[in-house]
Amino acid sequence: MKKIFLITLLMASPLFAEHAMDSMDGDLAKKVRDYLVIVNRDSSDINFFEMNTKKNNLVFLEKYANPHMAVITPDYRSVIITGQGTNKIYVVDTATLKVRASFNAHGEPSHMVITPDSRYAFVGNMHTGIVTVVDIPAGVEAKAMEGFNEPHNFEVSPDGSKVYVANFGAHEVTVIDVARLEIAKRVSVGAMNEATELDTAKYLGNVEGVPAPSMTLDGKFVYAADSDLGLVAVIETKTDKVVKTIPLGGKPWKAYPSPDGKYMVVAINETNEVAVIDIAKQKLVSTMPSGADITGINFVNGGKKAYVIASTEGTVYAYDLVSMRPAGKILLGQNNLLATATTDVETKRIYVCSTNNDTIYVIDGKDDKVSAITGIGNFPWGTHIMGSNDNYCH
Amino acid sequence: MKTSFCALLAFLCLVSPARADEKGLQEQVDDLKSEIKYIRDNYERTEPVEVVKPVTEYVSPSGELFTSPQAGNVSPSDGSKLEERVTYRKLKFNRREAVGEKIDAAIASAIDGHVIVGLELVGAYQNTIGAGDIVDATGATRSANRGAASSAVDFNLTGKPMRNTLMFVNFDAASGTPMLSEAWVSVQGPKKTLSLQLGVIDLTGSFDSNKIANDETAQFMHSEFVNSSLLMNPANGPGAIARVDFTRFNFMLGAQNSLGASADIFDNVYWIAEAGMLYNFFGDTHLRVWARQQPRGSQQPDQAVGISYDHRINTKLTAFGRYGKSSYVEAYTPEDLANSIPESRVALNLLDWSASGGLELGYFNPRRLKDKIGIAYGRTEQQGGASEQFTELYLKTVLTPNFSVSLHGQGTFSRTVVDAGAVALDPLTGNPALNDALPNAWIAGLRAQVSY
Repeated sequence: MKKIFLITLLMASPLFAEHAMDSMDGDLAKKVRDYLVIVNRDSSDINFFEMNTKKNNLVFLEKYANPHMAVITPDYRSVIITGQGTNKIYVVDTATLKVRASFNAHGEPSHMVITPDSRYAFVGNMHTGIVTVVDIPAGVEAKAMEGFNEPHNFEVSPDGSKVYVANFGAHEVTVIDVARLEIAKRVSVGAMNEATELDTAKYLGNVEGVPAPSMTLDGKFVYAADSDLGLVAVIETKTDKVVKTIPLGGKPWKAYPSPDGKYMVVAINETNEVAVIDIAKQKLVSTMPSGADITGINFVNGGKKAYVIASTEGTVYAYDLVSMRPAGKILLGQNNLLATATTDVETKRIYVCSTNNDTIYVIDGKDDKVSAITGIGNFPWGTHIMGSNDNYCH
Repeated sequence: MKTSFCALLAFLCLVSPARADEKGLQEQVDDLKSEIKYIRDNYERTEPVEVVKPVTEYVSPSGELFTSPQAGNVSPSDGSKLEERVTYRKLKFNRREAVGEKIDAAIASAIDGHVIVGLELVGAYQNTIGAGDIVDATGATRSANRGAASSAVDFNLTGKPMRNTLMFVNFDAASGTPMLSEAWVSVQGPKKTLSLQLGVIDLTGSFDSNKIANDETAQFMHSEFVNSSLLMNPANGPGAIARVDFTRFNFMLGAQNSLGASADIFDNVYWIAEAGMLYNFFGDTHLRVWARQQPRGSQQPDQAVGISYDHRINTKLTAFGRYGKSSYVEAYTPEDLANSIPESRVALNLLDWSASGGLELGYFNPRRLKDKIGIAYGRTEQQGGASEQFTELYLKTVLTPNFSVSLHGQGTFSRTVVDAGAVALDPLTGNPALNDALPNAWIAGLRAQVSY
């Protein structure tokens, strides 16, 4: 009898261990889901701000780190941070809130994407055009991939097999084969559409190409806005071919997908407008007036309403995406320099970074009421919420 | 066995000094690490960035300052009440900024604090075609096809003297001598909902606007495709425009002296009001409805109402429409009993109504996305019954963001009973045909625009 009991106990122990691990993971996931991760550029720290209790949890990176972006891995275990000041990539352990690993990048590491299996982070080094592939579990560089022109932002396919890289210094989206960690394809988003030879100063002076690729929620298409060309190219992810080009004029910055999967809303600087593209029809349905220097677009109420951040105006513009009408302006503060925002998972409210007065403004999507969170660190540049549809960086 | 023992002994003899070297090497590495750490911790790799930030402070009547709220909002030292106020402080941060960022900041700062100069130069050549022959004043027969060239030069000065405030000065140098055309200051409220513009103003720059038919230097050239002639376009003069902008709806009220800058500004005031609305029905539409009243000295003022709308049908195609209708206008002379002259009312042959509409096609060439094609048609009718129809077709190509050229074809046709000089074919050239009696006139033109 004793023998049988021991054998049963021995057999059950892995199940107990697994259950205990699951429970631990569940607790961690719950904890991480409550974090508003605030990237504080001037205090060189990351604030794991607890949204429920309003408690700060500051993780100092190092002097001059000047973090630019922070992203939580899908397994909740780590946060990857780019330190532009120190030219480093940091891996913070979410269980201990301590820097688990840090290593040198290749010059101005800025934006990133993480594969769904939490294995790799692809980080763009704007200065050298190198994409650093981070082996997240090991906390080391897995590969430095060359051949990009200002790799500014990324998207990953839902199955994790491909990463799309926006080249801000070219009119190109580059596709990386994740299994081989090699460039699989280069996709041109469009031809130069002005007489470049007649305007040497402009076109040899600077290139403002593709700031960011934006994937539709079903993963079937990538929308790539090109600032110089004034258009959005629609790339089919199955073939990685441009299937449609939608001219918008001005300087389109980025397409932002609505959480209901219906629209891509594009910020157009220079003309100070937002364009709404119907994803199913791949057609422009509305272009509405907006503010100056747009740095981000967020959605609330399940995608029925969009907020557009006019950075230098200190103002957020609201749009009703059902009637396709402007729905007012929210002045967050005179002389405020706004950065980016994150929408909560329920799409009820957005958290807007106001850099120069060290404040996070919370806008309620229901009634546009504003509240402020202060004392969160210096120069909040970006935020991240696990599972949010609107996690982005400018 | 013996051999193995000897070999081991020899190996140990060789290894021992190597271990000692390794130890020394390790110490050196540790020293270097410590040095690097010290340098990293203490060396300022760049000038700290200075950032001016608004901060809230709590100050007692005696000037005692606290950086955070105090219990009961009173000073803990003397119990006096604290005043909460916002001030600005210069703070220094260890932020490493790229040279590009520093240059951008310097440029932005320089632009913010100074006046920006703008220049626009427009030249146009137009020639009537197919007009046949004409007998001139000397009795000679010559071709009625005549050519005319015109130009417009505008200097603009723009500055921001205060937050939410814009200063704008425009000099028109078309006649050779720069003349002040506009000079105003516009102040916006903090939410940018209310604004007030004061100074020497051009009301047509704000009222009866249209996305694709409101600029003779960049879109259609025919005056009816720029603004409705029912506005009666008063000369630029001292006035004001008040605006309320709710983004979807907007309202404007404008008033200006219609006799020019030298007159009493409250004399002969021209009034105009407009309501605008944005809506999306099969595309974005902006509808504006206006009403104006024009003074006529001692006579009853005349009124007019109008609409102007533009509708983006799809990505490439935008439509516009305009309509204006005037009140009945007459010249009134009261009865002169002393001289037995009866009361007189004479209908003035002013425009009764005007209507126009057209299309703009853009993005039709993937290699030249900023090129445009425009086509429009319109009709005006005077109170006396005279009327004319007119049309315009243009192709504009943008060579660089600062330089564009366009080809224009204009036609005025089906004229009936026209008073000489009552109808101008084009705002830039007047009437190059110099032949108002012709029922039809066709004009080909070339326009070049340079702007900075």
